Amino acid sequence: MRDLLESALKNNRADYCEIRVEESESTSIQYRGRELENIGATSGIGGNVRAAVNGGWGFVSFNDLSGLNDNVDLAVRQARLAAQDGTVLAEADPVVDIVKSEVLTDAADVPLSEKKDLMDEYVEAAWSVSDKIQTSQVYYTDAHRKKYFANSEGSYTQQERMFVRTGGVIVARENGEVQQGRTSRASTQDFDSVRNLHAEFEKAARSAVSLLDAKPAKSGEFVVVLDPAIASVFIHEAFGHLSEADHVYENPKLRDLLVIGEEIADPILTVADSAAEPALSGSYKYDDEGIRARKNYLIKDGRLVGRLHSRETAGKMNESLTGNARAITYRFAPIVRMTNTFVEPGNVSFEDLVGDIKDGVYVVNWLGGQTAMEMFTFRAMEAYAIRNGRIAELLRGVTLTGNVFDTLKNIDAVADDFTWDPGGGGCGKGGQSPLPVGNGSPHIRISKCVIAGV
Amino acid sequence: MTFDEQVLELAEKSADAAEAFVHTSSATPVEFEANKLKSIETKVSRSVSLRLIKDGRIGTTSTSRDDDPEAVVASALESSVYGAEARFEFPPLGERTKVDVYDGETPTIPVESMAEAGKQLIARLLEYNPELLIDVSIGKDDEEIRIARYGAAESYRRTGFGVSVSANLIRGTDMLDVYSFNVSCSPDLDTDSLFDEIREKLELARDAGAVESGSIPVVLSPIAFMLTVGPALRMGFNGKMVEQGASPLVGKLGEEVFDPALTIHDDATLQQRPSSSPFDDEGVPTRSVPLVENGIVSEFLYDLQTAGRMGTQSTGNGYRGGGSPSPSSTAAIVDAGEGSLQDLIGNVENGLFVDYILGGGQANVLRGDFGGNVQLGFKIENGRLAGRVKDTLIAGNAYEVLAKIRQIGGERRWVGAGLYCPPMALDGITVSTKA
Repeated sequence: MRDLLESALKNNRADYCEIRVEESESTSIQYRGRELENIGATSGIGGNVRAAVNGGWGFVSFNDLSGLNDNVDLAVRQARLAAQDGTVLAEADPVVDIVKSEVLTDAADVPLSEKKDLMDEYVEAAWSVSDKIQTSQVYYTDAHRKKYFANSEGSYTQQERMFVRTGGVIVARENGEVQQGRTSRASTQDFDSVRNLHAEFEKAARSAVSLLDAKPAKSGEFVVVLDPAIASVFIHEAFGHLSEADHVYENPKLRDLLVIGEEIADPILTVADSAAEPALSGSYKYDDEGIRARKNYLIKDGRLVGRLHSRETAGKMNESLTGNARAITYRFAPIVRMTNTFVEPGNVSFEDLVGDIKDGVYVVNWLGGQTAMEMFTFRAMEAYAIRNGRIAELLRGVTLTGNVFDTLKNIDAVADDFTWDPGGGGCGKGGQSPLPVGNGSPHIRISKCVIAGV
Repeated sequence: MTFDEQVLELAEKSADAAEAFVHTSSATPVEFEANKLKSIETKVSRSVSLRLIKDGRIGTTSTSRDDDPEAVVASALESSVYGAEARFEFPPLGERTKVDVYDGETPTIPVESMAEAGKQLIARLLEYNPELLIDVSIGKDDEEIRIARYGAAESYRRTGFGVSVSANLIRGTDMLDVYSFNVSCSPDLDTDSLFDEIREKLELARDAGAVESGSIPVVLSPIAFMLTVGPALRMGFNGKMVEQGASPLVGKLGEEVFDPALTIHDDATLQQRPSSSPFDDEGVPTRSVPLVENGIVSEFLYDLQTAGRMGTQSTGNGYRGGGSPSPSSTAAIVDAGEGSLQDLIGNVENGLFVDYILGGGQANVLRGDFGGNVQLGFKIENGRLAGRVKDTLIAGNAYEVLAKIRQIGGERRWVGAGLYCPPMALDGITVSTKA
């Protein structure tokens, strides 16, 4: 493969040119209710050429690898058409490396019948909880992907990755009321980590059933405590996307709002993003521009200290490379993305964190989130009332919203109980979704946040 | 013999029935970022999906490789051992609805012209307001869908052309994003309507307004209709959700669940629309499927397997979207009422006009709930728009708010490829904002 890619790159007349090729094999199993709906495997091969000429980019993706030289020509021609004012890419030393995935139990070695039997058990576990279970969608997926990368500066990397995930949405219904519970578990290392999850599926089913009787939360502005799952997604959605430099580098006003060194949160808050953490959903050794992953602090002690870059954004902003250029598949050009984003633990216990709240809301388990610049919104599946320092009755899910700059300043306590979300996350941006990411956080408290309970 | 023909021939030897689905596409987006041309892309793809029935069970696989037909068939056969029981037989191919979704001009339009149209749109917007940061995407695509089984094959080609523009304006920590988009099967480089829409929204958003928390009349733009009640309706009319008993509309066929003024069809038979096709991804001819007729629930959307399980017929809504066929909506067509958007707003004394929201599909959609942050919305005061609202959430239930509709507007517009709808004034939406 290296020879093939390097020979295709040899005579290109672009400022910069790269080729990525991916081979993949995957299996998926889906249930609707108690019945298996789909089971099957897919295989794929494809690649792309990306070229830069005077700051303009050309990109060509394909499944047929036989026309590589023509595709390089086409990408360069398109880049020339898009040419503007000069290509600026942060300098990077060429790297040559072949990275094998470090797998304990490979999903590829587990027979399909065994995967199916395991899922049958999970479906039954969920349905055994109550006769109020109306339906469920339980899924299993595994993928093995091999990526090859070469660029015109002499870099060549080859990376392998295994990914396995299972989970489900369990729906309970009674008297016209419908509620759901969710669970998921992902691993890049070990098929065995998706075994023995019967209790997790039961828990999701129980959660759906108990929400049937829950009252809606009040709407308005409250003291809100976020569980680690919600807190990590909140940081990802509300702040993380603003730290992606492609939103910032061509936007002078946003640059003025996001000045490195400025205080943007209470000093108790520290946030980082790191693809270099071992074996999480968003982990890798090299990004899709061949740049080595590293741990990048974004907020340290309340101050903005960094942001995430591709080679182009780092070059144009004259900041260091961070290794965050990612593409979901070969059909897309890499863009600046988060990897494993997390809030570092504070030193307050969870009990102390809720202890002085008279009337607040504790939100648990995320359902989704979205952000548009400074505005964010996300949805929690469950909530609890907090009264006089104690977690009180279960409430239905709530929607939270606000302005990120205000809300970051309103984070006034960070607990000491950090966890990574074992389900892994999927992030969407620029039509590339769901990109595997990791999310981690302890419990956090927001002194004022608008919520709507339905 | 082509690769998919080899696959199908092998599959037919070892299975009771087999079908090859071949999707070939070529897309060329021209992207502008922050007022400048950024990239020109060409994306060519081809995939072959095999679905077979063996011993009464369904086996599936798909691949973008073209080197090993035996492996493809073996993979589908293995999956059929565990696969779902087939509740349908492949219907014969050859029937198709007369709908034209191909424009020969689209593939031949030069990227230079697309780039030029983008440049001109940006130049006009910057002339209007030099502080704007504008992203534009202009793209064309050309796809072919081919279905083969029982020695016969049917195919069609479809073109698509789309222009989208978003403009970002920042004042202090106040950020405003407005956008506009158009899609069709034919190339349309006239960007006047996009320019006008962006300018109008920017002008409306100039002043700030505020609403109080509570339940007030809300006028939804067609985009807001899609982002709020859209996900719930899509879920509710999906035959699979009905089959699972998960749709709130189970058992409601023939009942008046919605306001009698509401009529909605799922229609893949409209000429020159990127959401149309002569047959679905299972070779079943498309038709205009009435979902709601004068408030009455008329039909649900089915593919072959789900229809078989429900003892009914496919509505021609089996689409693959990358995986196995599943009931999917094509384009929801909402009948127009009367009056302009201004009339709708004029009839509201104190309320909210919502143009778009963030996070609409995140609520308890199964129940019909929606909720999200008003990304672009305006206070209505005495029948007039009175400033942009911020930090405001709306929430409600699609079935409740559509049961009694204040007013349906008369002016419809396309929202992307999937919805053709007028603005609507609704009650029963909860507005939450800072105390």
